[in-house]
Amino acid sequence: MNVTLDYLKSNRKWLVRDFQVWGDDGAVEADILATENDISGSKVVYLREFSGGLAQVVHFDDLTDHRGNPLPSTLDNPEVILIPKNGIISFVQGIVGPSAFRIARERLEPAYGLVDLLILEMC
Amino acid sequence: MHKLLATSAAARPTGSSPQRKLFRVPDGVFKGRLVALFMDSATGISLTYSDNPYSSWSTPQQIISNSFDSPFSAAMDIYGNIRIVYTDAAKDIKYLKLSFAAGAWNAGSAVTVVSVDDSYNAFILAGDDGKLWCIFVNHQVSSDFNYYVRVKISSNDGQTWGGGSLDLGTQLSSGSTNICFVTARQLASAIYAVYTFNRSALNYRVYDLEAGLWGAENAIHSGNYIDDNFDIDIGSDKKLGVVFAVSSVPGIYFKEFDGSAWSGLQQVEPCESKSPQIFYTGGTANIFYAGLLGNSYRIPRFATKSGDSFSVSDYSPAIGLFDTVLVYDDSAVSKYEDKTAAAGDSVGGDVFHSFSTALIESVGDCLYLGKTNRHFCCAIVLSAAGAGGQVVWEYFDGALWKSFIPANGTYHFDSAERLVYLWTDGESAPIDWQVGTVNGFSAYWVRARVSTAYTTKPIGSQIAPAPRLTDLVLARNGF
Repeated sequence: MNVTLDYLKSNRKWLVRDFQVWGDDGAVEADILATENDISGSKVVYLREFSGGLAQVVHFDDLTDHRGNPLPSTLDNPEVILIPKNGIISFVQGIVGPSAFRIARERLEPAYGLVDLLILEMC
Repeated sequence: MHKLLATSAAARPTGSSPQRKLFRVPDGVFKGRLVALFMDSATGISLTYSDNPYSSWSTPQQIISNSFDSPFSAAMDIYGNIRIVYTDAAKDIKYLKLSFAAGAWNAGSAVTVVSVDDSYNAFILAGDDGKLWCIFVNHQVSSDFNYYVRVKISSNDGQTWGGGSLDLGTQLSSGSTNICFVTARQLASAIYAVYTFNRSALNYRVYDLEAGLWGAENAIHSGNYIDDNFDIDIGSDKKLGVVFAVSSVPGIYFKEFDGSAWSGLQQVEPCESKSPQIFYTGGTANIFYAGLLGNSYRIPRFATKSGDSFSVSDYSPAIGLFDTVLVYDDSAVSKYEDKTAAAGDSVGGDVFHSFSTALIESVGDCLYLGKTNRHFCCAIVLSAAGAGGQVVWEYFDGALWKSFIPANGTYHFDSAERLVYLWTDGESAPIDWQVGTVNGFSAYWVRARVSTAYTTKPIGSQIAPAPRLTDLVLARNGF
């Protein structure tokens, strides 16, 4: 293992301050395996949608860290830690993907939760 | 997202509502990996998997080659191992474990669960105590020809079941002249087995894990005809939710059991529906199903319980109805006419331009199909098929109309009905397909433009971005 390279590539982290959370936990992330019939036969298809509620999907490349640097569009094995700022419980919903994650707040009032996002690339 | 995984010649490639076929690895390095099981043919069962964001799937790998063409079920444990129960070619119930290691699933040897008479529609559940429960339907062809719901247990990870393959296990139902369907869930120290009886009832029995006994059979609902259009789940408040469809009465219905009493019957949506799925987020019941749009086209619908009622919507913004349907007659004074409402319903012969009385007729006439989201298919039902004419299919790239040939072949409105797949799937839509404005409506547009005039003009009945959805299953691990 190249320790230096591993060090440089691993454990990158970003702090995103004062992020507003408006997604609500009523939104359902539903993965479906389905059959569609056509004249040519049956198709096996995968469907994925967020249904109900307000789904807030955060893409890493839409974020800017506390130094003003944009985040990469994809991260290797990322984790997201939320640091609450206004007393509204906010949380990551489902799986943190390589390019995006979902975030939601527990209560609908006030209108949004305020958090700092600590984003870690675990590699 | 709409992603084509495979085509199949099986009767029901993704199986039956009460069963499980789509799983998510719950933990470890491969946490979040989705794995789908389906019948790839009348005899084969295949596996494919994908990681977030699930737009690319592995090449399907056949894991079973001697299946009967009948629905099967599976479950995934916390380590990612998958257990499958299926009917084999001899109509015995077989059990197969797929061990998960280094990101791949490796099949062990199949074990016969039961080999007496014929058996179908198996469901597998792993109890918290480590035991495996296989609930199945045995067709007693050697005696009374009735179908019986039975259960067998394995205490050694599926190596042996009950007293061996000749042991029929415990009988849960009385004899039914029609085939039954089964599912099960564990709630605290009880196993709930829910099953249909003779197409006329949805019943359940409860196994008390502490007492080691099955309770008496109770009815959830009765009516004609109840087949495999049902599903169950358990909420965080320990309520058992049941969703089902009865083919004699259009609609999706819901009941909930709080441990001592059942709620009243609630109608989720009155439209004719099938293949319902239910899962709870917290104490809220979420229901998914294939709702009939008309003319055999079914679309995925979503309902969430809010108080005593349900909020119902389309599951996917790409599937349902077009936001705008315009007919364009190049020779008319008023060239565009909005036929959105007429195209959405299944009333016959009401989609045409008032000047030509045709859907499209002369060179330059167009049918414009607009949706605010990218879509992938178009169900077209005509009251009169066209003849002699040809169209060019085009999409709008933000500046120009670009011609394309639909993925399942071009269609010139010359047959009474056609499900046109514009692209192979939703993921295959052209990346340069852009929102444009036609007659003041902003949408992702596709149009069929007449390049050769018709001698017999087509007239439309229903035009919608709707597939023929038959079976659907949600991702759930079944443990």
